Parts: sequence; C-alpha cells; structure tokens
Amino acid sequence: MWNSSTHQRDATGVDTSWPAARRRGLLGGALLATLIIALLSIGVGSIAIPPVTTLRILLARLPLAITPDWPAAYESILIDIRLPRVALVALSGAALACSGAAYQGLFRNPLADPYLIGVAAGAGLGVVLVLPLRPFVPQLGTTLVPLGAFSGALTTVALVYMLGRSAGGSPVTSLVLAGVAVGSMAGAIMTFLLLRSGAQSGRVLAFLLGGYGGAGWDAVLVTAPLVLLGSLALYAFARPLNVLLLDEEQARQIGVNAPRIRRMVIIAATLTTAAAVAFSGLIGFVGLIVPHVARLIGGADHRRLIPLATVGGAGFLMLADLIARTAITPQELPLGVVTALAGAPYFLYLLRRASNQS
Amino acid sequence: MMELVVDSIVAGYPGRDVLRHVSLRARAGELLALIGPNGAGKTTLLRTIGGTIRPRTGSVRLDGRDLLRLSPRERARLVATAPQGATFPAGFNVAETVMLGRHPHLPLFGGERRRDFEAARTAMVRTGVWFLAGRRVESLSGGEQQRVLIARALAQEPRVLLLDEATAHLDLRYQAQVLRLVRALARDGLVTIATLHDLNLAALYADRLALLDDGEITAYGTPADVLQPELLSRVYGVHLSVTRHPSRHTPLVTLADDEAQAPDPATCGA
Repeated sequence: MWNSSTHQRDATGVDTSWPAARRRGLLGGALLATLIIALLSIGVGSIAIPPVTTLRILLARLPLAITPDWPAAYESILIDIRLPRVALVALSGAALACSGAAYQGLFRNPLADPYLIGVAAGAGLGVVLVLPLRPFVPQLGTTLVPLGAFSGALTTVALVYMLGRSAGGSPVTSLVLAGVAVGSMAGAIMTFLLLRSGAQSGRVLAFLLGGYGGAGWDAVLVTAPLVLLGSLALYAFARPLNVLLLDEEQARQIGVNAPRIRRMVIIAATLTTAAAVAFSGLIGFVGLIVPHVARLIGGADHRRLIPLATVGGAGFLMLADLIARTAITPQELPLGVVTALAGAPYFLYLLRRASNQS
Repeated sequence: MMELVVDSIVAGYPGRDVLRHVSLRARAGELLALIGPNGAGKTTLLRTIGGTIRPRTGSVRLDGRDLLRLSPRERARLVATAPQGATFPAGFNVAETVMLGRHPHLPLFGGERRRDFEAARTAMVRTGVWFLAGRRVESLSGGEQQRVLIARALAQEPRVLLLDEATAHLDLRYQAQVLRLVRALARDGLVTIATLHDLNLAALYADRLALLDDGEITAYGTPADVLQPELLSRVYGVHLSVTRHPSRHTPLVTLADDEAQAPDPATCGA
C-alpha cells in the first residue's frame, strides 16, 4: 500500500503526492545497525573488549584528545588482528549482496546469485591450478591463492559471456545455460586435479568453505578499492537495471541498449565478486538472500535496492562471522554454515509475511 | 497533419519473410486497426514500425523522418508500444512502472526530474490509473493492467502509439473502456495503430482498417469499405456474413459456417 506520510491534495481533492517516495529512513537505519554490529564484532573474541573502549581505541587514531587508559595489547589485537578480519568480512558481504541484487535483476531470476555465471567454479579451479606453482614463485607468498582465484574467476566469466553471446535464443537464458555448462566443466577439472594431488586438498577445501583466518590489512587494501568501485558502478546502473526488468522486447521498445547495459553490469559484478572471493573464499547464501530481504523491506527499485543490499550484506556477514567465531569456542564454524542456518529461517518468515499481505 | 508512411517493407524472422512489400499510411487523429487471420503478419508489422524488427528492405517515415535510422533512444521518444501479454517487473507499483516509460528522456546515469514526474502523472491521469498509483501492478485486473501499459507508453510522450491486441483477454466492459481510450488518444493527435482480432470491435472503434492476408495488405479503407463478406470469407477461409449493427449501423461480421455445405475443416485433407 501507499504509505507516504506527506499526502498533498490538489484543488479537486485528488492526492498528488508521488507514491514512490517512501521509507526514506531505511538506508540510514541499516547503516547504523551495521556500524553497531561492526563495533560489537571487533570487541568480541578470546579477549573481550567493551564496545566503549573499542570505540575510543579507534577514535584515538584520529587527532582527538583521547588519553589511552587501556592495556597496550588491546590496541594491537584490535587494529592488527580483528579489524582487518572484520573489514574483510564486511567487504565480502557487501560485494556479494550487491552483485547478487544486480544479477537477480539482470537475469530476471530470483535464484540468481553472484556465482551464477561461473565466478565460483572459476575461482576454485584457479586456486587448484596455481597451488602446484607454489615452490617456484616463493616471492608471491600468500598472495598466490588470491591471485589464482581472482584470475580464474575473471577468465571463466569471460568465457561464459563469449559462449553465451554466440549461442542463439534469448541472451539472458543463453548466458545462464553457458554458465551452468562451463561451471560444471570447471568443477569437474578441479575435482580431477584435486584427487591427483591429495596433499593440497585441505588448503583448497578450506578456501572453498570460506576462511578468514589469515586476513590482514594487505588483503583489505587490495579488496576495498575493487569492491568500492564495483558496487558504485552497479549503483550507477541501478535505473537502467529497472528497465531491464521488462522483457527483452519491451526494453527495446523503451529505447534501452540492453546488450551494452548487460555487459557493463556483468563486468562490474564480476570484478566485485572476484575481489571478495579471492581473499575470503566462497560464501554461499549472502548474495542470494540479502537482496531478497532488502527487496521485501525496501521495494524492487534498484536505486533503493542496491544500496540497501550492500549495507545489509556487510552487516549480515559480520553478524554471521561473529556467531561463527563465538558459537563453539575455541573452534570456529565455517561461515557458510552460519549464513545458511541464520538466514534461511528469517527469509522464510519474511516470505510468509509478504504472501499474507498480498 | 502528421503522417506515418510505411513503404514496401519486407520483414520477418531468419529464413522466413512474414511481410512482403507492405505499404501503409496512418494519419494523426485517426485510429487505424490492423486486422487479418492468425499469422497474417499483424504483429510483425507492428514490431517493424516499433523498431524491434529490422526490415530487409523498405522504410518507415514519420513526416519524412526515417524512423529506422534513429537510435533506439531517439526512436523511443517518437514511437511507443503497448505490447501484448506484457510482463511487469515484480514488486513495482503503478507509478514506478509508468515511470519506466521516461527512460528515453533521461540520461543513462541520471534520475528523474520534475518534468518526468509531471509527464508520468499526466499519462496516468489520462488513462485513468492515477488513483491506482501506489498499488502493485500484479494486484490489478486485466483491464487496469492494460491501461497501465498504455500509460507507460504515453509517458514516453510519443507521436506514434502502437497497441498489440490491447483487448485480448478482457471482458466486454474493459474492451469498450480500453478502445474508447485508444480512440480518444488518437483524437488527441497521435498516430495510433492497433492490431485487433475482433472484427466487430474494429468496425465499432477504428476509423480505418488495413486487412492483412499472408504478409500483404489486401484491403485498406473505412470499416464499410473493408468489411465485405466475400473478401473476408476468402481471407479467413470460412464463410462469413456481414450485416448492420442494430444501433450504430457499422458492419457486423458473424460466422455463417454451414456444416452441411462446407467440408469439415477437421477432416479436410485427412
């Protein structure tokens, strides 16, 4: 229903307010909640640091008159260990949810997620392919795995895009089908290679399940610009994405250059996702569920949906990471397990509520 | 007076020409209905004029301007289509859906301005869906959805309005409502072309008819000129009779299918 708070009426008593201007506070609320989750998330761990102290340690980095009254170890735990991990988690969540929202619109498919057209399979294969190179390029060190994942993801999506374009039929369907075919192919090659090199399989499996154990500032510094750039690009394409929600024929009738917009969105979403995948592995569910929740709460217009999903993805994944770290201490749960366990029931609840309303 | 001139169009799909040298004129202020049997090329002609099919030869000109040479954006500012069986984006309300029609007037990365809100509102008021502005499109009736489609087309502020089977799946009340609206829009000064299945609706509401048969226009003129029983019976392949509408005195086409005389189409050729 129409719940704009400022109803204007013209001389004949007809309501002339524009119905789309609703729920303005939503994004601000989501942003605030995400910041609070971040603060909590940084404080919690084997050594608990109270939120107020956390905030003061962070603010002390700025030129403010804050005198340190906390143990020196707190600062190094916070700044060197927890903050980069939480930042990387937030970046991954934002990247996955943002690309997921764009893909669900682009493919007009509610089951679309950022891994739909080959990012996941390509990243996995990339890691398996680069691991044997390890002894030969010691100077690359820990960046070898992210590099392999990133380039594997980009190559696979490029391949899928070219194959999908040359196939006949609806371009959107061809892309998805090409993604499925290339994805299974890459998965099969990866499994084959994994079985032949038993020693490496532990590392690859850890990557596939999403691991933040060794996350440092270098990872954040590489990921952040790519995710920022990619999600800003996707936001810039928000209104054209709305028009692509119409079918191909209608989009053309309205004057949309659908192939060009599709290409740009795929490039932006792939860069964003690949950057997240490179350092944090594959985390399911975020890119699928968070956009849906954002849509149910804030509406389907991509100009509201993409920012809300981006912020929501960051908050949701930080919360999931917090649970993953604390639920069965001293062990850690795989992040993907938590996202599915926590996200699915809430999602089902929202779906039920939405269907009761209409 | 603005005029759309379609000149010897040959168009269709890969390996199959549907239209063979179709020429047609449509004047602003008049409602032109395209009629003809299934597969005669009505929708293909509409799509060619709308620019979503490129013809192999021929031209489509609006006051001398070749529409086929325009970019999709430029064309969408002149020609708008209310397609048949359109899908609506899930979760969009009526106002948001109609606003999509403003796309050809907006810069790629720009948002709507006051001018765009006004155009969208005018389109919704004109089609009588303004009171539904905040409602989800999927919750509306068929007749209301059809009017939303027309509103979206009007939001493009076009000179040419194309409608593909605008009355399909609508009950009699909505058929009358939609066609009255379409004719009024033609009177506003739009070049208006509608494909219509129902010959009697075409006779009642259209100013001019073009009868398509197997990719060619076999008759063009007023309903009284075009709706001739022999011609229609030949084109549709079934015996039709034409009488007078009891109150409007326009032609009234009825099936005169006499099973005793004509071979049963189901067993024919078996």
